[in-house]
Amino acid sequence: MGSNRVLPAAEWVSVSRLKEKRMQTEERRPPRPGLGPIDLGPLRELVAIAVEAEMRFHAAKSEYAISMAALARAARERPAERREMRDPSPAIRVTRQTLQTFAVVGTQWTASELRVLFERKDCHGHRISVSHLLLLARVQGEERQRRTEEVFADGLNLRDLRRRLRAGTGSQTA
Amino acid sequence: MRPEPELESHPRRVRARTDEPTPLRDLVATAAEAEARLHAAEADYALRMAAVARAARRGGATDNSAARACASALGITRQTLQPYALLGMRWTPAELRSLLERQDCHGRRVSLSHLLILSRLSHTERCRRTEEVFAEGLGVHELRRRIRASQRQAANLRDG
Repeated sequence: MGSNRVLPAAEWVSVSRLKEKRMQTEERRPPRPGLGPIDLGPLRELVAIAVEAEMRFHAAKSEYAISMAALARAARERPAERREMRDPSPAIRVTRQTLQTFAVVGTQWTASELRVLFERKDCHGHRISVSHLLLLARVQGEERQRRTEEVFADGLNLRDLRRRLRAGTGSQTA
Repeated sequence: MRPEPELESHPRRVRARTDEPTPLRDLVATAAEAEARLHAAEADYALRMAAVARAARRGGATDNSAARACASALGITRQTLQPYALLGMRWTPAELRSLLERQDCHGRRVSLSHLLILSRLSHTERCRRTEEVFAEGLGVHELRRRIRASQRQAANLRDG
C-alpha cells in the first residue's frame, strides 16, 4: 500500500540518494553465486577450447548441409546422370529420405543464401538448423521472408515455429 | 553478396561458378568430404564438451555454480551440458575417440546422440548395446526403442 503513496519532492530526493547509496554499496558487495559475472577460473581454457570446437562443428554442419543440398538438387534436376551413376546415396551413406530432405532445402535456397542463413545468429545467440529450413520451405515468397526474420528476431525454436506456422500468426512484437 | 575467399582454393567450387554444371560424381565426392569433416568436428566437439563438463563437476562446487558458469560461457543451459559430464565419466577421451571413429556394419559412424543414450546405461548393458549398435547398424530411434522395450520388460518382470 505504501508504495502507491505519492511522494513529495523532498522525499523523492532522499529516495534517489538512497538508491545511489545502495548502488555504491552493491558495487563493493560480492556477486551472488551464479548471478554475478562469469568467473570460470581454471576452467577458462577448457571452455575456450570447447567454444572453438563448437564453432568448427557448426561450420562443418553448414558445409555439409550446403554440399548435400547442392547434390540433392543436382540429382533431382539431372535424372539421366543419376541413373548413370545409379543412386548417389550409398556413396555418402545416407538414406534416400535424408537426401530428399536436403533436396527440399536445395531447391528453395541457393548455396550463398544458405551460407548467410547458417552464419546468422538469433536473439539468443543460437543458429538456424536444417529442420528450421524444412519448416520454412513450406511457405513461399514474402511470407517465408517474414517467418525467417521472426525466427531470428524472436529466437524461435522448432516447436514455436511450427506452432506459429500452423496458427498462421505473426510475431507478438511485430 | 559477401566474397568467399576460402572457396578460391577449392577446385570443385570454382568450377561451380562457371556455367558448366558440376558433374554429380564430383558433388557426391564433395558431400562425402563434408560428411567426414562434420564427423571429425562432432567427435572433437563431444570430447571438448566432455572435458569441460567433467572438470566442472570435479570442481566440487555443491551448488553447480561451475557447471552453470561453463554452460553460460558456452551459450547453452546447464541441462544441456550435464549429459556431456556423463560421457566424460563413462569413457576416457581415448575410448570416446575410438568409439566415434568406429564404423558399423553399414559403414556409418556412431553419433553423439548414440553415445548420450548409451551413457545412461549400466556398464554391462552399455557394453552389450554398444556392440549391438555396431553389429546391427542401429539408428538412434531404434536404439532408444530397444532400450525402452527392455526397460519395460524388466519393470513388468519386477512387478510380477
